[in-house]
Amino acid sequence: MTYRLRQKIVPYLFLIPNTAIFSLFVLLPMVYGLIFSLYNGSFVQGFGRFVGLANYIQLGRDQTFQTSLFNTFWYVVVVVSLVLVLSLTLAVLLRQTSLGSSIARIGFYLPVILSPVIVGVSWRWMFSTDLGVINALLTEWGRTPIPWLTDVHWAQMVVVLASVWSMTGFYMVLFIGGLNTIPPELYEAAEIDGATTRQQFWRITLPLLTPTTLLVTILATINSFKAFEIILVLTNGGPGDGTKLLVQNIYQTAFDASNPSYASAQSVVLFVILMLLTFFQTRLAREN
Amino acid sequence: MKRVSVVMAIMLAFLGSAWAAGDIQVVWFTEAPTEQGIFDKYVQMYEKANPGTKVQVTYVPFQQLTQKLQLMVAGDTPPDVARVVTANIAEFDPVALDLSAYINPDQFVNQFLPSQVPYIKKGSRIIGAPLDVTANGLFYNKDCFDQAGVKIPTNPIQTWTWEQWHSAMDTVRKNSKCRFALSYDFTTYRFSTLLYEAGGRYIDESGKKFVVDSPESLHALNFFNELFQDGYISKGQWLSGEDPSNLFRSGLSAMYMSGNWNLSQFAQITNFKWGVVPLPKDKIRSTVPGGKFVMGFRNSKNPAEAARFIQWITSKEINLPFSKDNMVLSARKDGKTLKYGQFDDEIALYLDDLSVTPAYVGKDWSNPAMAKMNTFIRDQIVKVLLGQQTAKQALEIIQTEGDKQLK
Repeated sequence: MTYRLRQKIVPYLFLIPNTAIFSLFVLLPMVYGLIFSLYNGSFVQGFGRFVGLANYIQLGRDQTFQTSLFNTFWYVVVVVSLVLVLSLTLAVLLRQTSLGSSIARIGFYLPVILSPVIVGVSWRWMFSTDLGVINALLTEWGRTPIPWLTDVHWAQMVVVLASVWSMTGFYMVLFIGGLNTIPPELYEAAEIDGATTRQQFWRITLPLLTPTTLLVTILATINSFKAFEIILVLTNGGPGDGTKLLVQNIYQTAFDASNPSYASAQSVVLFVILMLLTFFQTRLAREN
Repeated sequence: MKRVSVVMAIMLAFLGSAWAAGDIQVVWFTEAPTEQGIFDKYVQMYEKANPGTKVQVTYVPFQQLTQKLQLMVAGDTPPDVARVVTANIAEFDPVALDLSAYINPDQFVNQFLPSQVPYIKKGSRIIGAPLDVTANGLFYNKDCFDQAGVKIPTNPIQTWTWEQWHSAMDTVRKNSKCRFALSYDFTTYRFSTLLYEAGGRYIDESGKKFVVDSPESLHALNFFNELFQDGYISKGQWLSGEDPSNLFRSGLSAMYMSGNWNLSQFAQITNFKWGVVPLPKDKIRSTVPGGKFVMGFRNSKNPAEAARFIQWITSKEINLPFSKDNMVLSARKDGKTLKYGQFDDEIALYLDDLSVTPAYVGKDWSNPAMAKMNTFIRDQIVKVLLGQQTAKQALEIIQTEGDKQLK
């Protein structure tokens, strides 16, 4: 083998283990899911009958799927916006290293290391309409209990709050890391020029944090699309379909309704949405 | 060389002990904490009686049973034996182990109550064996009823009408320490008790058409919705996954619509006295019969031993004491006279409710379409409770979807 040929082949040889793992655990299930979505299959009888695009056509008429898709979009928009604003605010406030801010940082980061199931159970314990601590206190004080988890709008609010609470600490740390890369001389120069704190934030901090902000947006968006455990434990997607997101609908279609082919079709739709989002976000990042 | 052969011999011996020819893998679901200990005892008895066999049991909570079996079957690694409910035996029928190759079919089937036979006998195939019969039933908190001065009917023939039941719950709710009138399991199965009592049904006699959109079913769904809207059933149970059993066991609910399988777990309640009340009646008296079954799977590792285990656990010598330990109703014909030592009066009430239940109720639930419709029906009921659709609209939607499933 000539040197030139070897030089061409060797990099690909190094790629083989990674490619093999990626193909086996990511690519193969994806292709399998795509093919399975074109069949009328079940867990018991395998692929079953070929139905072409019938599962996708049915999605257009499926109200539960459309509700879960709509819920997913508003959930992602609200959660990502709140996470961005809150984590950035906390990072700016806790940027200085002092004992107080270190303790506060630990406090805000703590929810991140908790299991989502624990988060769901704790919030349920607080907000349960019938047995929750908050409603017990309200009743004790002579106030009317609030239907936290049994009214669609209240339940949506609780789900968003619980998700934001569990995520903010992680993104706060990313923002603190981003803030530490901004040279302090810029602030000193701005101060000498008479810039106010607000002007410093809008003219220095925010523009220089753009890469971190983009990273946080991409990560928070993807994580919000995948939100499942907290909501499952907290409301089980209820009341009705009020807090049911696409991932939960896919799970219930596959396992409760025993219709894995139709669930695969929904997964393909989710995959396309995530792919488009990632494409636009990456493009935006490149332009910046 | 000698050392290599010794190592190989040890490895072979290890592999042999890890999976001997007679070993069986069992998936056993549990609904009450007491069930695991009881089944462990019977597993030990089986292993003692069959020294060459090791029974490896995987316990799963009931809520995870279907998913566990679906994934095992889809991965072509089904267990040898599984404890299942009526909906599962219909779903896994195509991959079920046909026991008729290992037993005398007529003699085997003839041991069990006729109501359970349609679930296991599919033409010439025998796809499982019934372990016990279940019946929906109504529990009540004696302390709260005594405190409110409300008497409960003891004779099933003179049971409450729905109006009397409603009025009793109203009095107890206002005059006792119980915060909620009624806990109600979040299942289509439990809701259906009202539907059948009102004279409704899901599928017609031919088994080919849904007939749930009827004035009787409408009356049942409206009554259930009223109980919910008026706060007799606390909203969290059907809207946000609040556990109805917990509400009753903690003494917060005056009544609980569930079923006979709770007896052994409720025996451990010490903070209040409880009992079973005959199911109230509307147009007719009815419960919803169901059952637990054991079944094998065609592609499992040890079908012959699985068939032997299924025969053993459903035999008279084992099934009757097993039913007594679990305080459940045996599915064997000779189990009717079984005495439990405690709860005999409560069990008599369940048996009485079962005896007056029309045959079409069991026929509805042994239809595979009901297994597929279960969650769908429950979702439609929830939409009525949320005011997103009327009871009439829900029944029309259920009927249309049900007819699709039957095609």
